[in-house]
Amino acid sequence: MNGTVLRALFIDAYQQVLDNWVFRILVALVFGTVAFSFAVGASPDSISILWLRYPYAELGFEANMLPGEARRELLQGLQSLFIDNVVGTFGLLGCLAATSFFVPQMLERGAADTLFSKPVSRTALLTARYAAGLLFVGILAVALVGGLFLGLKLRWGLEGTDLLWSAPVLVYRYAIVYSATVLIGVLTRSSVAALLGSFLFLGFNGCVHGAWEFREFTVNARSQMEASARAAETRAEERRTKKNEQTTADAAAEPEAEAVVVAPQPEPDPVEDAQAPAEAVDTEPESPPDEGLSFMRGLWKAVTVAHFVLPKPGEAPRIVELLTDGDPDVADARKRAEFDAKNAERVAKGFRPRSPPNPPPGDFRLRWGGPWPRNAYVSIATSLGFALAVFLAAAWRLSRIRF
Amino acid sequence: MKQTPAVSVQDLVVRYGKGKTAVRALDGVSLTIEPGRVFGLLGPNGAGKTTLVKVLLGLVGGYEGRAELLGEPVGRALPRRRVGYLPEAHRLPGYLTAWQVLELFGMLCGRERAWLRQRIPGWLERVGMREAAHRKVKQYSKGMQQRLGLAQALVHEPEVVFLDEPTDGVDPIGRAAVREVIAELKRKGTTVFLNSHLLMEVEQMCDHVVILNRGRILREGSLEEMTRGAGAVRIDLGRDTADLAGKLAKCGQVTDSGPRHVDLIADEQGLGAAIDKLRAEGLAIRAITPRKLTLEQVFIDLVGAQAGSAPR
Repeated sequence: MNGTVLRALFIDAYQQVLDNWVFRILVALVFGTVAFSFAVGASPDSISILWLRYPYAELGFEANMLPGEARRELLQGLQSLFIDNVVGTFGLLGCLAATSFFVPQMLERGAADTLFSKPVSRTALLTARYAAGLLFVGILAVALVGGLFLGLKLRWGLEGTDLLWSAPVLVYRYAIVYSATVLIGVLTRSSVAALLGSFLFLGFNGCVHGAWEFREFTVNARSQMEASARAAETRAEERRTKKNEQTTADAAAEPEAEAVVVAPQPEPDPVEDAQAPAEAVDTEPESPPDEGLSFMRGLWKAVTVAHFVLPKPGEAPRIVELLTDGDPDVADARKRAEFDAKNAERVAKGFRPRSPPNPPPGDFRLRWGGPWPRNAYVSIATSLGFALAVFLAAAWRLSRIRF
Repeated sequence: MKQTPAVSVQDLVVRYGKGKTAVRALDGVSLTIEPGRVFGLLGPNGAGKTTLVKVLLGLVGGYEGRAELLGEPVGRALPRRRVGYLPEAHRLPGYLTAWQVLELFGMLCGRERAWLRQRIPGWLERVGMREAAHRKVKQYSKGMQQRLGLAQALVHEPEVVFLDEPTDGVDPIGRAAVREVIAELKRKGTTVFLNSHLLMEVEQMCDHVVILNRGRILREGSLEEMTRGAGAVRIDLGRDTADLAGKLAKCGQVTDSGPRHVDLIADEQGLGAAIDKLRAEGLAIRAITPRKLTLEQVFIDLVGAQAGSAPR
C-alpha cells in the first residue's frame, strides 16, 4: 500500500467523520465547555467572567479563597470526575453510537462491491474504518482536553500538563471497545446489531469486571476483618498475660497472704497462634459436596478468566491517575504530608485538627509494579491484546466473505 | 507476438451453499477475451453473470478452475489497478461529493491526486455531473448516482472495464451519454465487459457476446456470427395469400408472416420443403433472402430452448 492510497483512506475517514451529525453535536458541546473555561477564570483573590473581575472579598468570601493548592485540587477533580469519568463513560457511549455503523455501512451490498474491487486489501480498508472511529474520538478528545488545558492555563493560571494525559487515554478506552464493535459489524453487517451488540458487550464486560472486583473486595474485607480480630485477640491475650504476671508478682511480694493462689495460665504459643488464623483465611470452610457450591466455584473461575481476557476500559481513569499522580503509595504519602501541613496551619490558627482521610479498604489500586491482577501494564497489555485479537478475527472473517 | 488476454477463464466452477442445497452459480465456464473488445455478457436472472464478474474482481473466492485478469491470477491487487468496475445497484459514500468520490476511487487505484485533478472535470463533464460536482452524493437521484458510478469506474483510465447494467435508472439523454462513453472507450482500445438486460443496447455497443444460462455458456461469438441467423430467411410472394404461416408450419419455425411474406427458420431440407409446398400451391416466389436475427431473438431462442430442461 503506497502513500497515495493511505492518503485517500485518511481523507475518506476524515470526510466520514466530519459528515456525522452526532460528531457535530459533540463538537458543539466540546466548544461550549472549552469556551466556558475561557470565559470564567479564577485567581487566588478574585473570579473573573469575561473581562469583569470580582474580588472574593467583595462577594463576601475569604479574600484568599482559592490559593494555588485549592485550584490544583480543583483541576484534579475536573480531570478525574469530568473528563475521565463523565466524558469517559457517557462520551464513549455517544461516540460508539455514532461510529457503530461505519463498518456495516461499508459492507452493504453495492458499497462493498465498489470498494473491495479496488486494489486495496480488505484488511487495509477495515483498518481505515477503525481508524475513522479513532479519528472521531481523537479529534473530540484533543479539542476538549487541549482546549481545557489552554483555558485553565490562560484564565486560571494552572499549569495542568497532567490534564493532557486524559486525551490519549480517552482514545485508548474507545479503541479497545470499538474493536468489538468492528467485529460485530463484520459478523452481522447490520448497523443496528453493531450498535446494540456494542452496548451489550460493554454491559457484559462491566458485569464481569464488577463481579470480579466485588469478589476481590469481599475476600479482602474478610481477611482484613479476620486480621483485625486476630490483632484484637492478641492484644487481649497480652493484657491477660500482663495481668496474670502482675497478680503473681503481687502474690510473691505478700507471702503471708496465701489464702488465694492463682494458677498461672499456660503461656500461649505465638507460632501456633499465628498459624491458626492464617489457616482459617487460606482454606475454604469445610462443607459437604454441594452442586450449587461447585457451580459457584466454576462460575467464579470463569469470571476470573474472563476478567483477565476481556478489555478493561473501566481502569482507564486509574491509568490516568498513575500517569499524573505516579505510584499510589507515593501519591498517598504526598497527600498525607500536604494534609498534615494544612492541619498544622489550622492548629496554629486555633482550629481543631481534622482527622486524616480513611485509607482505601484493601489495596485494590492499579500500580505500575503491582501484583499482576493489579498491574497497570498487565491491564493495558490484556486490553490491547483483546482489541488486537478481536480486530484480527474481524479481518479474517471479512477476508472470507463473498460479496 | 500474441497479446495477453484481458480475461481468461478455464473450467470455472462457483458453488453457493453446501451439501445437497449447494447451487452451482458457474458450472465449468471457459472464456477468453482479447483486449480492445466490447464484450457483452448476457443471460437471464441467476445465470451467473454477476458471479463471473465478481470472481474476476476478487470479490468472490473459493472457486474451482483458473481465472486470470490481464495475465495474472485474479485476487491479486496489481491487475485490479488497471481495472474499473461499476457494480449493479452500487452505493457510493453519501458523505462525499462527486469530486471527492472520483478523487478517492482514483487514488485507491494508485493515481496521484494531481493527475486526477487534471482529469476529473473532464469526466464530470462527460457524464453530465459538472453542475453537481460539489454536492454530496446522498443528495443525488438514482440516475445521477449511476452516472457518477460510471465516472468512478473510468477515472483512473483502466485497461479493462466491467459495467454491470450501466444505464440502469438513467434517463434517455443519460443513456446516450453512456453509449458515447463506451464508444469512446472502444476507440481508445479499452476492453469493456458489458452486462445488461437491455439487448438493444448490447447490440448497439458490443462486438462480441456470450450468453450464459444456469452457470453455463450457451453461445459465444461475435455479434455478426450470433445474429447471422443460420437458416433464417424471408420468402416474398408475388400475390396475397391466406394462412401462409399455417401452410409452412411443418417446414420450420415461422417467426413472422404477412399476406405476401413469411419469415422462416429452417435447415436446408426444411427450406426445400417450403419452396416445394409453395410451388405446389401455385404461388410465385419473388425472392428468398437470408435474414439477420436480432440479438433478442437469438437470446430468447437459446434461453427458451433450455427452459424446459432439468434444473441444476
